[in-house]
Amino acid sequence: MIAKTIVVVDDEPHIRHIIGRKLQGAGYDVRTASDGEEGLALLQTVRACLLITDLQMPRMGGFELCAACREDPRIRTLPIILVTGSVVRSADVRAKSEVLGNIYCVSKPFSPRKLLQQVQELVESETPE
Amino acid sequence: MSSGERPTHNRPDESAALIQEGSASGDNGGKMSRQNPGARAPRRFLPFAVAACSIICACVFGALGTFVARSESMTPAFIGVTVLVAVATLGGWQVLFWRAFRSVQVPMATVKFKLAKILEAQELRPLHMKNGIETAELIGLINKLIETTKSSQKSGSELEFANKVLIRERDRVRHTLDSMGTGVLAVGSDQRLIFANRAAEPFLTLPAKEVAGKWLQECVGDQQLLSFLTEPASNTAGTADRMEISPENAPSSSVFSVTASTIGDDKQRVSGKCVLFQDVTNVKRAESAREEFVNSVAHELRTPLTSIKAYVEMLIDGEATDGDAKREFYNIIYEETDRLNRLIDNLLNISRVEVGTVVVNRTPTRLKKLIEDSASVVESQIAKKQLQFDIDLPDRLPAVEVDKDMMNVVLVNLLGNAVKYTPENGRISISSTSTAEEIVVNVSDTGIGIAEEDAQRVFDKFYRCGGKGNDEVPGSGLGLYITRQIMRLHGGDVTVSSRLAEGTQFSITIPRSAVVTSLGDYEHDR
Repeated sequence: MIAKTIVVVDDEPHIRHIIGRKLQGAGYDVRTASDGEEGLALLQTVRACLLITDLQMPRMGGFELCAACREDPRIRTLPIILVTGSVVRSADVRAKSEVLGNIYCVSKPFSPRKLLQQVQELVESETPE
Repeated sequence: MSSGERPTHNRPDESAALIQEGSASGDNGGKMSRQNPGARAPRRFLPFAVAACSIICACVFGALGTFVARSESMTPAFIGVTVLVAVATLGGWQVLFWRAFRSVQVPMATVKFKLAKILEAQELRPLHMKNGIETAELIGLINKLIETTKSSQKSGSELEFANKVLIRERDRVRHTLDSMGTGVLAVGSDQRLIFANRAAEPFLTLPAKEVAGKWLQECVGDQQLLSFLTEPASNTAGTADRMEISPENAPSSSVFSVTASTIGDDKQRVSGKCVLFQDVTNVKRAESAREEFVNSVAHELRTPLTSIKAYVEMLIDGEATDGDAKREFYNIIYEETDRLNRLIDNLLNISRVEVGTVVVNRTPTRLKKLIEDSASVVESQIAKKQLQFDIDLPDRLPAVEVDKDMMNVVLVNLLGNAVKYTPENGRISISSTSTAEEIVVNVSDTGIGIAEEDAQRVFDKFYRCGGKGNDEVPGSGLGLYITRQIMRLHGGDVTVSSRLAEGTQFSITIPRSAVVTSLGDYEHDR
């Protein structure tokens, strides 16, 4: 059975390491990138079933990456988990996410255990039997 | 105007004369002249008495003549008497006509002369003359006319004065409103503009001085503003509506707050709107900066916290099975705790600097020792990455008056950055040069370098460089910002020069004025 690919984009190496380790432990193929531009390039080359991205990153942030995904016909409907440490703009983040569609927000500090549960739910619901 | 209402500023003699003449010849003048003809009455009635006697004589003569004619016995004496009576009768008539003529002609000439003098002098004064009964009423009427004209003239000049006062007050209010930075617009209930000051011009299609009386639609081009202004005013005077607008002919980032308050009259009935345009660009920028700061702080605090929480959870869940993995997790938790601590320190330093509560405690300090002490803080990190570290300082580096703790923060920040962004086996060096104006300390490395566009922003709060290698290094983007703030507090600065993939050099400058010329007590403190 081929492992499902999840792309993780975060400028923090520790966060990439935590998420990668947790998802790999659950049998997923995890590919990582350190900013939005790198993540978008990675998404062009792999057939990902989910994108997990940080909101605040240098060069290309999380929202720009989400918007770029929605413009690409191949990954237009890709489910995205947006990890955010923002406090004052949480309402703004959620409103923008609703506009782009199929985006789920997770606040920092998150529990890797709960994140894995959410990933499994999303991947299972999105993948046709 | 009756005599009782006359202004009090008339001269007393004039007023008395006017009252006397007016009352003698005014509304009841004729009655007064009949009731009180005065001492001159016998003289005035003398011609009339003579004339009456002459007429009686003529009548007697006529009767006598008729009688004689019937008797047909005419004597010379009779003829003489008759001639004498005829002459007396003619004389009486002549005197009668002469007096009648003089009593009208003389006062008329006097009145004419005085009126000509009044016209010539253009000064209205009442006529003072010994008027006879024939002209008393005329003089009285003329004086009354003069008085009425004077009153009208006075009313006219009072109006003119009041008008001047009003114009002056209006101009004063306009100049005051024009000098305001806030735009002011008054709109009537009929949607016509009443007033606009100069600061409101960016929102109008016409100059402010030309808008009075014009329709709103003629003067306001922005449709959003127009619909806001034409909204029906609230029925309660003093209530206000608010909107924000960026005028088309203002800089793109400009934001104005538009507040429309209803104008009420004395009975609190709404008679229009008073609209204020306030530039809130700086307020918006400050709000945005504050929001950005809070957001960045939250992000920077939550990132190490996320790592700590996640690694602890994985340790609890038994995901680190071997000793190496456990050690790695503990090390990360330890480093992230340190990172949190540094972040909090940095935030406190920023707060002190920005609020202005920071006190620069300048003490004479040996620069060489300060550099060596700061280097010792990062020694372990240098050793861990096996970096070459060179301290190249002149033998006679002067002592400077600086805040030792703050300068330590600066040097540790710069050396820490050099260590973080220099790959293993790279080289870090610290050197110093002096010019006539300043002492320069350079911290150089052979690290990943900074792109040109990033170099201009590295001293901005929370700014972090993008690009390969930078994302691997944890940081808050506050260290260089604080470094610059501290150096500026000392009258110096920090600059950067860098080439990507070759290395970076940060230089701090300390002004010569901080150099301690006489060591004095410093030698003992050392």
